[in-house]
Amino acid sequence: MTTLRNRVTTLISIASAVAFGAMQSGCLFTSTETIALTLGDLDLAGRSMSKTQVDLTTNATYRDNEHKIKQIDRVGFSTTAVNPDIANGNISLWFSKDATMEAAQEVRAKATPLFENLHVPAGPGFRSPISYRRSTDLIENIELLLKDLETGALTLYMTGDGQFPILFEDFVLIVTFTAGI
Amino acid sequence: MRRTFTFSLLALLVMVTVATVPSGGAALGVAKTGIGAYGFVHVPILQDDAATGSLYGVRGRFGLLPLLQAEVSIMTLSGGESSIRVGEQTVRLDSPEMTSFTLNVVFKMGGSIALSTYATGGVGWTLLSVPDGRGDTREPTINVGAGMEVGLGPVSADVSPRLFIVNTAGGASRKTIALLAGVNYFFN
Repeated sequence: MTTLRNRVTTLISIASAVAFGAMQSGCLFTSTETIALTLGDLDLAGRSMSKTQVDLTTNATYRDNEHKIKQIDRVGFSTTAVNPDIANGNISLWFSKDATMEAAQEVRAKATPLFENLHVPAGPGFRSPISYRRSTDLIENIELLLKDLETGALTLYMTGDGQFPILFEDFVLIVTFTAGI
Repeated sequence: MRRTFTFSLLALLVMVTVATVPSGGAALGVAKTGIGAYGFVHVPILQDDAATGSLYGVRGRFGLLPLLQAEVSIMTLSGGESSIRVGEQTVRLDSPEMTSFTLNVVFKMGGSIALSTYATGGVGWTLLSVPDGRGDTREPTINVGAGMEVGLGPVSADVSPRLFIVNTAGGASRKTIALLAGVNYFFN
C-alpha cells in the first residue's frame, strides 16, 4: 500500500512540476489563430501611387483577442493581378506605420518593400493569380512586417514603374497570431 | 529568464523523483540501460496553422535505480497542411516543423518485468521552424506523459502518450499531443 501511494505521489509530482513550470512561464494557455482580412481591390488606377489601410481590428477574431496577443507568427496574402493596359508593368507594394505619405518618391524613400517590381503582363482578360504560397516567396522584410503588424494597423502603398491601370483584385491578407486564452 | 526556468524545472523534476522513489523497487529487477527508436503521430492543440502529422525519434535510456531511468531523446515532428477558407478559395498553410531534444525522467509505476507502466516528464529545447513567418528559432520545451512497456528478454516495446509544450517568444506556446510507439534494446 505504501509503495502504491509513493508511486501515485511521484506521478502527481512529475505532472505538477511540469504544469507549474508551464504556468510560471505563462505559456500554457495560448492558442494560435489564423485570420483572413479582406482588403478589396488595390487599384493603381493610372496613378503613380495608391494606398490602402490595414486595420486588423476590423476582423472579429482579432478583435476578440486584441489585448491578449503574444506575437504575430506568420503572414501572407492572396490576390489576382490584373493589367488591362497594352503595356506590361512592374508593380511594387510597400508597408509603413506612417499613413500620411502622398507621393511615390516619398514611399520609395520611407516605406519598407513588401515586394518590388513584380512583373504584371498586359492584355484584356489576362489575370495572374497570386496564391498564399507564392506570396510567401515574394514577401521581403518578413520580420519587420510581423513586428509592425503587432500594432494592429499599417498602410500598404502600391507603386508602379509607370502610370498603369493595374490592380490587385480581391486582396486578402492572411495573418496567424498567438494569443492568450 | 526562459533558460533559468528550464534549469529550475529540470532540478525540481530530478529532486521530486529521487525523493519519492519507493523502497520496493527491486520488484522490477536491476536498473536497465538501453537504446530505442520510435515513431507514430502527433496532434497539435489549439493551432490553426498546424495539422496532425508524423513523428520519429531515437532515444537512450540510462538506469539510475531499478524503477528510475533517465531518457535522452531526439525527436522530429512534421505536420501536414492546415487549411482555411477565404471566399471561394482554400488557403493551405504548411505546418511548423519541430526537432526536439529532451532529457526526461522515466519512473516505473508498477507491473512486472514483462509488462510495466511508467510516468515521465522532462525538459529540453526544440528547433522550431515556422514557414512564411518567424523562421527557425530554438525554444525551451517541457513534456509530460505516461507509457506502457512490454518486455521480452533484452527487447521491449512501448506506447507512450506525451504532452509537449514548446515555449515560444512573448510568453506564447505551441502544444502538441504526441503518441510514441517504439522498441528498445537493453544491454543488461
